[in-house]
Amino acid sequence: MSLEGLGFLARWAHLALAVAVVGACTTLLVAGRSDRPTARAWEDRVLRWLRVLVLLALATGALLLAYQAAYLSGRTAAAFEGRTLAQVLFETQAGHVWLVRHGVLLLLFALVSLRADVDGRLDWLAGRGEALALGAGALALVAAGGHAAAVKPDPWPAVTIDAVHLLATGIWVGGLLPLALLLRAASRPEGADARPYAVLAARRFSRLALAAVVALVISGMGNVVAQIGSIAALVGTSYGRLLLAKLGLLLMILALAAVNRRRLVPALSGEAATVGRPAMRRLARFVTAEAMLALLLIAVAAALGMTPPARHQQPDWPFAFRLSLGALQSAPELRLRALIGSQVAVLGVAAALAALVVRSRRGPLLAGAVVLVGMGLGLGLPPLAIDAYPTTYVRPRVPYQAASIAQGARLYREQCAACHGPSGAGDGDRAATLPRRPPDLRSPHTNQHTAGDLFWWITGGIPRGGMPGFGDRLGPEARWDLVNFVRALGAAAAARMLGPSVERGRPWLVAPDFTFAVGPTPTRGLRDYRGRRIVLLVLYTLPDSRPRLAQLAAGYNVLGLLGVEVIAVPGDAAPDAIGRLGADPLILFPVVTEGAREIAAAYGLFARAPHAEFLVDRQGYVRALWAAERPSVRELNRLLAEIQELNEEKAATPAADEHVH
Amino acid sequence: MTERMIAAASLALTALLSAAPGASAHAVLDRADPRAGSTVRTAPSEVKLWFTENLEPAFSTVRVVAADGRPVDRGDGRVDADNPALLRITLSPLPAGTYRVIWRVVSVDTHVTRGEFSFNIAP
Repeated sequence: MSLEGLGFLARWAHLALAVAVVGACTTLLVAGRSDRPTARAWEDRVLRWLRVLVLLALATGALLLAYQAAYLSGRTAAAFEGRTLAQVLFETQAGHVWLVRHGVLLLLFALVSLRADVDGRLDWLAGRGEALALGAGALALVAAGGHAAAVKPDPWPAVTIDAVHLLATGIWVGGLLPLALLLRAASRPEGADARPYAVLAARRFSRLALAAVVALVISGMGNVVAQIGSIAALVGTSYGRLLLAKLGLLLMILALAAVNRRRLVPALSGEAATVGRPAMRRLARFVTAEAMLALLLIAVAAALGMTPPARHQQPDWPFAFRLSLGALQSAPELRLRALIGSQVAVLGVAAALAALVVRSRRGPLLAGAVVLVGMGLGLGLPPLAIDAYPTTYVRPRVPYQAASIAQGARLYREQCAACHGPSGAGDGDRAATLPRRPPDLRSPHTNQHTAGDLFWWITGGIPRGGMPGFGDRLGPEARWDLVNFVRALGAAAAARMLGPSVERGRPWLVAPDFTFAVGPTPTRGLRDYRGRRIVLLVLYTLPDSRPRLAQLAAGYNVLGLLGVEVIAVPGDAAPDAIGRLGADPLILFPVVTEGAREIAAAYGLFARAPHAEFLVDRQGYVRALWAAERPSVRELNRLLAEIQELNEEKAATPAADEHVH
Repeated sequence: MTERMIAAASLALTALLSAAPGASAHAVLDRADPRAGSTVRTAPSEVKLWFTENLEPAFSTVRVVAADGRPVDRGDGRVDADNPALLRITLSPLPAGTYRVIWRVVSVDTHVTRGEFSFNIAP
């Protein structure tokens, strides 16, 4: 068996044991203390189990530690090296969690190993409660070493949700086998003395389990949001598919649990000596089946723990279509159909709600509801369907950066302009020879496609349109550069709507990130200002821009007080730009000497003018654009007013995603 | 009844797992300086790699080699003290040519990811 297989088995066993420990402690407490011989025998047996469970948890924990050492270092032999084991324990977060958890487990083992007489009620409660607290601590802390711990910027909400999820699992799933054991013991002829005790325990457990399942579902949804975040990640990544498997298993278990709760638990009641015994045996059998399915569920959970979370996997979209409201923009006649379909579906939902309220005629109402919802979806969804490909939801491998756009522009001239035309209008020299005229790359329709769509077409071509694939000729980075360039083309066309005034609360134009250096100083990036400062990016040409630069230099202190950094980029990308500007006036803001060519190439798409100023807000969006053919001096007060507009903006827009989709 | 249900669940689980695609190793590298595949005019003194989640310093490494495989870094690869998601390494003065950056990182949830890319220094 492979190292990974061994790691999975150790993790599965360890997780199942930790769950079982919590369940055993919970069931003992829920069932309560009893002086009936059969109940006492059951309790003693569960306690013996508990000691074995904790011991096995410690052993599998040690196995997991060895596996981690081998896996993290990349060497199998490291599983037995003291130095590497110490590194894992003392220099990783998961190692710290391991130390705390296993300290808690050792304490728990000592506690349950004591053969103290706990006949006193308070002593009994204290002992069982302490065992439960320690077991719950050991289980909940698993969250601190898992995927939740890696959520940025603050992992603690995700860790807390995950801990709740684990505890709910422990209470419900872990309690199933001890309960089944009790029911089986009480259903035997010689166990009659414990039958009322078992019935009471089953009822209490049923109520507690219901609460645990609710907590499980709610915290599970929290986990989905934290670790998955999109339908594409759910159906297109191994993590997402494992989660779907887990959900499928959970539904089966919940169906079994519902039968237990609604039919078998009430059937336990009865006065006659034989009434309830068959129900008790059946309940025991169903609860055992529930537990076996739950063991599979924990296996999936262990596999999830060893799989990179969907947030960090590239989705492989399995369907040939996807649903998008954008599809309606290019085909207005489909809007009516989608609208009718949605209204029919709403009628169906209303009928379903009515069926819940009206008890008579529920069957016909529900049937009508199903038909209406089905018709509504069948009518309304097809207009929203547009073509999709395996890479449709892939996160671009190369960020939306000036350097990438500049490189994409070069590649476009070499590889694409012959057909698509110099500016992407589809009017290239060879366009007339193609089966279909190339689409205008700048149009809104092109922008409705994801970056992954563009990547797919560049890689594989569009045979029916006469477009060849470039997968063999261009590496993936080059293809992503082309994607970024095409996205920038579309953004540039839309940017014509931007003017020198800020539109309040309406950020939409993502500012391409760029890196730059000023003389010998370290490299900086636009992203470094994210969340901290507004950036006024100035593309300038000498000598025309000199008066404006002087004006900005004079106002630099005021701009700084308002939270603005000015970054000046020579349009000709001269390495000696600072020298050319001279000492009069003294310019204190950064003048780019390294990286200017790429910045000018990328931002030049948005404003083809000798002098252009881009006002980039703290979230990374271009909010105002002033392009001047003849850069006469513009009143500084107008610029200050726009900056004040940005400073007064309170709506917290999410930061621009530099991986444009 | 229940045994058949468990068997069906196992089969479904197996089918689902076998259909799972492999994870992409490059998903976690957010950006790099020098940029992957880029050509720079000035030799960089440092390589910086930003990742999508915080790293474990003890097990995260980066190397830079020339086209002939000769190491050109100073062997001081480390996770930045201020930004746990940033891995950096300083370089010897580099002549023009093609260089490869090779990284292997562990995130705080103990997942190992690795990757590599090239950059060029123009003559």
